[in-house]
Amino acid sequence: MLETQDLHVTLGRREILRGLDFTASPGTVTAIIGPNGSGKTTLLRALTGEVPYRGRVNLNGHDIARTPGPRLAGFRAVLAQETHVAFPFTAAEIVRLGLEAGIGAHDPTLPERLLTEVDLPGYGPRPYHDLSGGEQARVQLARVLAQARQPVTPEGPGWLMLDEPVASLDIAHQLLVMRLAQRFARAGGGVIMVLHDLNLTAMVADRVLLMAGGRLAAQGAPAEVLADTVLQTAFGCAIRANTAPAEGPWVLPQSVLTGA
Amino acid sequence: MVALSPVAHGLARPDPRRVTLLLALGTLLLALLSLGTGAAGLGPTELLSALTGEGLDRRAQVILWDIRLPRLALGLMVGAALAVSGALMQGLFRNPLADPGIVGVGAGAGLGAVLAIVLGGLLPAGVAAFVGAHLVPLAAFLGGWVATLLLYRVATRGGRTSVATMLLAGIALGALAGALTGILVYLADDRQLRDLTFWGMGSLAGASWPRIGASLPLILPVLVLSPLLARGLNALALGEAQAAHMGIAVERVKRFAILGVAAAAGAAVAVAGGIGFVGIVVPHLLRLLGGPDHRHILPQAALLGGGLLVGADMIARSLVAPAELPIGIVTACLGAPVFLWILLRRKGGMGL
Repeated sequence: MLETQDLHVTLGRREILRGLDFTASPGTVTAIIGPNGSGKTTLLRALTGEVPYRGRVNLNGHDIARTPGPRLAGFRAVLAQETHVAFPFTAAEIVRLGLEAGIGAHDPTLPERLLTEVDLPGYGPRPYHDLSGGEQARVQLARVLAQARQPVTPEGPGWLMLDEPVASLDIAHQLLVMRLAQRFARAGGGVIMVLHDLNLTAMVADRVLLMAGGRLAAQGAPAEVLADTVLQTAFGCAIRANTAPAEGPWVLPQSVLTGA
Repeated sequence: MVALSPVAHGLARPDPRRVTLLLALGTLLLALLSLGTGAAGLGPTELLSALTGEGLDRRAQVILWDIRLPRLALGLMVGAALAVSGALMQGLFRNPLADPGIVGVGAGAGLGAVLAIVLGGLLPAGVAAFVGAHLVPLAAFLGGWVATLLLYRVATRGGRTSVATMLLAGIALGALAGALTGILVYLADDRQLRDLTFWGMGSLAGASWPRIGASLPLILPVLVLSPLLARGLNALALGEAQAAHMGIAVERVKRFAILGVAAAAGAAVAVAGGIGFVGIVVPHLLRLLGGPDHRHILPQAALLGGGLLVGADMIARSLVAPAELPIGIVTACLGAPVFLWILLRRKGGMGL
């Protein structure tokens, strides 16, 4: 279980997060959405202990501010929006870094298998810096999946925390990443991810946190949060949410619908 | 779905144990060659006869034990120290261009050494007796440490190092340390000036067993213990935040890496003066050869660094024999072009 209590983050003189309370359960995918600058990434960075915060963040019952990093790394893996790699590692070597960070034994074929899972079969020996942006993003995802290779660990459920995991991916690979996230959750792990695409959110999320101005403007099931008035208030543009039978909501800017 | 055939542009990394073995053999070979090279005309055949038990005459024994062997040992030690401190520093700064000699750490260590030579007499007698011959290496270590800490503070923001800031800050630090060193030289008396000149020659010519003994306690622990930082430095290549998420105690890794850089580079500067570019060239060659994994780079750097410096020393001794070039000139001639080459072909990763 992930719980926050009265979470505040102040960077410089700006208060970015202004008191957030929510919980996220293992076995579910939680999407964090909201306009630019609403605090999504800062929220994720607070949840991972990367920025100083006031309030509490508990993960599997551990106060993350008081839990040693190596222990957290055993049940929580984090994907940043961007990762710069300093030296000429190969794709497989990057994935292996994740394997070493996780817990339990691993076999030498695992990097190649994980790369295949993110649709990079045979990419192990390729220099990371020679890959395209989307390929690099998937190598990093494979590294994170390597670290969190057990959705349920001896320390409780595993957690994936992903900051815009599909930002540089084409639509097929966006769907692939969403399937991997969903599979991790169905296997008993917890997934928290920042997303921009509201329709992907509708498709994959079990729970949605809508951020606006450093606060939670709404939280709940996709059908509750992805609603016309809620979205229009948060994003400040005319938006229509519709429901296709049995498939949850889908969302379009109103201008597309009206041709205006 | 799994492609079994190698993909185009893939890298086949050589077996790291084989690379290490080859480097060890190469270094051993260079060491033997170096023992048999010198102005005294004591060649490999005579040395070989010594090994087979025929014994050497008195003069040859002195040359071997008091001149060539200490010089070889100092070369191996200093080369290993410079290369390992370079590899540690590059891992710490996440940048293949970081080198203690270029970014002011060597100058800081030099300032420490000069401070110890000029003002060492002012130390309380008890302290001086306790520190003994280790005073200059220790002072160089402290000077290098302060310089590394300052440089890290200035050049690294939020876990990322700007190459431009690092190099410019290194120039400023080097200039400052040079100016302070100048003041100290100005203050020094005649006997101290002689010591300074002797120290500042920057070569392996002053090799002696006591000199080696004075620096080994600073260098050996770095060579032996630095591989313990390898996993942390590997993870650090993805950034401080990522390394922390992967369970690395980032602050501890950084602290020990800075200490290691200062101890190895400082002690090397204290016994051999400023020898540049070994710290750049050696790790870079190793990365080209077997990839950037610090678990292999750090021990291999000790071997290749030692071998390279012994080789450079042989060049320095034989080019203008029976006189000799300062070894720093040889390493700069070999190393500066490599530095420029790295600078020009850098791609990906972090820009300037």
